[in-house]
Amino acid sequence: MIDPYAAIEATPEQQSAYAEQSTKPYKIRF
Amino acid sequence: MQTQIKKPPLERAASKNAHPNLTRKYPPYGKKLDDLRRRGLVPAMRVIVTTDWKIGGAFPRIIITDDTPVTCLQFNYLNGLHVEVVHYDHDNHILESLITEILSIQPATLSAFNMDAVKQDKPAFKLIFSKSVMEGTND
Repeated sequence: MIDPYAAIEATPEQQSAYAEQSTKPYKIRF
Repeated sequence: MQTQIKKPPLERAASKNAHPNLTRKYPPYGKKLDDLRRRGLVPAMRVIVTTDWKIGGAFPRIIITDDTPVTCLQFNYLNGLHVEVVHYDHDNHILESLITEILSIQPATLSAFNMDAVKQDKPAFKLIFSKSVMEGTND
């Protein structure tokens, strides 16, 4: 059975974009 | 007798306000995906976002439940990934805000698949956003 969470290494672009996204505060919508 | 009132440290209150991210909640399986991203990994398959626990069990997925508004959920781990929202007609009231939230995270591709449209023999798949058309067909 295939593990649905099988993972591969992120590309440097994906990793840096994720790091940037994770530190960016969300816009609060009311 | 004198009593001392202990005030909370100022820096703690400031940091709590500075990061609205912390008030966002992970949807089911969201933390599992975020843990992968923190380790420098991405799921090998596209990520399914659905309101139905019975859908997408063979894929990495997150479940959108009724108990938390979409705008209070954390989606940052979807950045740069291929994401597909699988929904029914009765999810239309959350669909727009769900798509807006996920788009703000900048996925590689975002598509929607309407399960009810399949039953009615109508077009069910809609490509909402693709960073690159070639990347969108690559999984």
